[in-house]
Amino acid sequence: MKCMRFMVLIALFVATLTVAASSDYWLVRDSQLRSKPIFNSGGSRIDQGTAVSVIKSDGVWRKVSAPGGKTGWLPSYELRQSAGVVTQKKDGSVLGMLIRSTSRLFGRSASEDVEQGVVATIGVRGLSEEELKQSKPNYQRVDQIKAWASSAPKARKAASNAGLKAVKVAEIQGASS
Amino acid sequence: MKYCMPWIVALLALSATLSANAFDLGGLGDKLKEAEKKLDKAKTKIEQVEHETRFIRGDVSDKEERSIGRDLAATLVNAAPPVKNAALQRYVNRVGRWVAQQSSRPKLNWTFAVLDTDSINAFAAPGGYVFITQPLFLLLENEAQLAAVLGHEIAHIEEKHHIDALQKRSGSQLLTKGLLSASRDKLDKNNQKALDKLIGAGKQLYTSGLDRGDELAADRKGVVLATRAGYSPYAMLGVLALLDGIDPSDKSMALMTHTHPAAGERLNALEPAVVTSLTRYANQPEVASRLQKQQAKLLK
Repeated sequence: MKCMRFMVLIALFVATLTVAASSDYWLVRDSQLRSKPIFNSGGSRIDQGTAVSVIKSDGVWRKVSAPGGKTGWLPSYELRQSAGVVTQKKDGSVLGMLIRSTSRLFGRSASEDVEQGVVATIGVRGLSEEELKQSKPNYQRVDQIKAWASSAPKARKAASNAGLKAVKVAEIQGASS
Repeated sequence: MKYCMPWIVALLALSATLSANAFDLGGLGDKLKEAEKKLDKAKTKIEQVEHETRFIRGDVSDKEERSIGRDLAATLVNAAPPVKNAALQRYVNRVGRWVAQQSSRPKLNWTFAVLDTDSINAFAAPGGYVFITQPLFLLLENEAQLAAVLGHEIAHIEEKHHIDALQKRSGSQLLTKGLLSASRDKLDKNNQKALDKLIGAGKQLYTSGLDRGDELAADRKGVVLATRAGYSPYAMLGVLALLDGIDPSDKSMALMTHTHPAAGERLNALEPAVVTSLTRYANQPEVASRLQKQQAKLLK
């Protein structure tokens, strides 16, 4: 068992290294490859799923090179480092659902997996509108989750272990207010 | 006025009873007992009216809110059970509690859980219950994104959006005083009826969604909470961009599509506020490794 865990960690570590070395990013949605690191600076359309390499960072902006020799700026949050953990296993139903629903995101190869029948069951269990409407309260189940609750000191310690520090941040206003 | 009326009615009833029988000394004891009964009945009625009035005003105690939340949360977890992985659940609780500590309600009994379903979504129930579905958890790239999603739900609870919506849509009839203190195993007919109404209204809320304004406000507040907790302020933008990239007609997205403004719209509303106001926190960490370790365990 311990050995298994160790192997998984090694595999994760290697996967992380591979991702970091290739510096491949995916565009998570259709966007504009901007000529300057400014939101309304104009630019050419770049499709969701396009793989890009990051050349330079400037605050929230990333200068990227895209296929066809194009370069331009994208906001960092539209980029995702490779497909990450999500694509590491392709035989589970949960993952199959993810691949299917994000097939546009993860490119053609993931769609092909689904088409080849790697994923047998695709459906929504549990929290569809219909199932929610039929649901009745299950108090035993909801009271069981209390056992996992964290105390404030434990949460603070875990945050501190990851180098997180609480800071004062004022509320932000919406565009209309 | 609604507040005083029952008292006036009770006093009038009592004085009428007493004056009519003032000279009938022989039956005075019985009459007094009868009057006491009427008074008790009137008091109960007053308590219920006071309770309903408080509910209409939005003045719901933390204990009452938790009781309502437990009913609604119990309905959600019946539809989708928590994932049986204590290490994962404890991890999500530590992250969630840390974010909740940055809110104005750090002392609530915050309880978080990952739910086993194929649906991509997250839910909050009054009193501190927060749920994220397993597929949404798996789609996240780092802990900052988890903190942002949980922060959005914590914001709904902090602002009592569900309580407000229940009040607006269903009025005071939802809550009887007896229901809040009664054990759910032994409800009498009236309380059972009241509970059914509350559960019905809750399900209606989870299948039709909160107001658009509440969702956008929770996006802003959630980002602020996660940023206060020390995470990158851009994490929620990343989650919304990711959701925007998923086909909204996909079954896994059906309920979220139906109950929330489109992810692209939410991103467009949030982006200017975050980029202009929170840039100074841009270097705060995303903490990828801990989240990815839990994801890997789930996919084993």
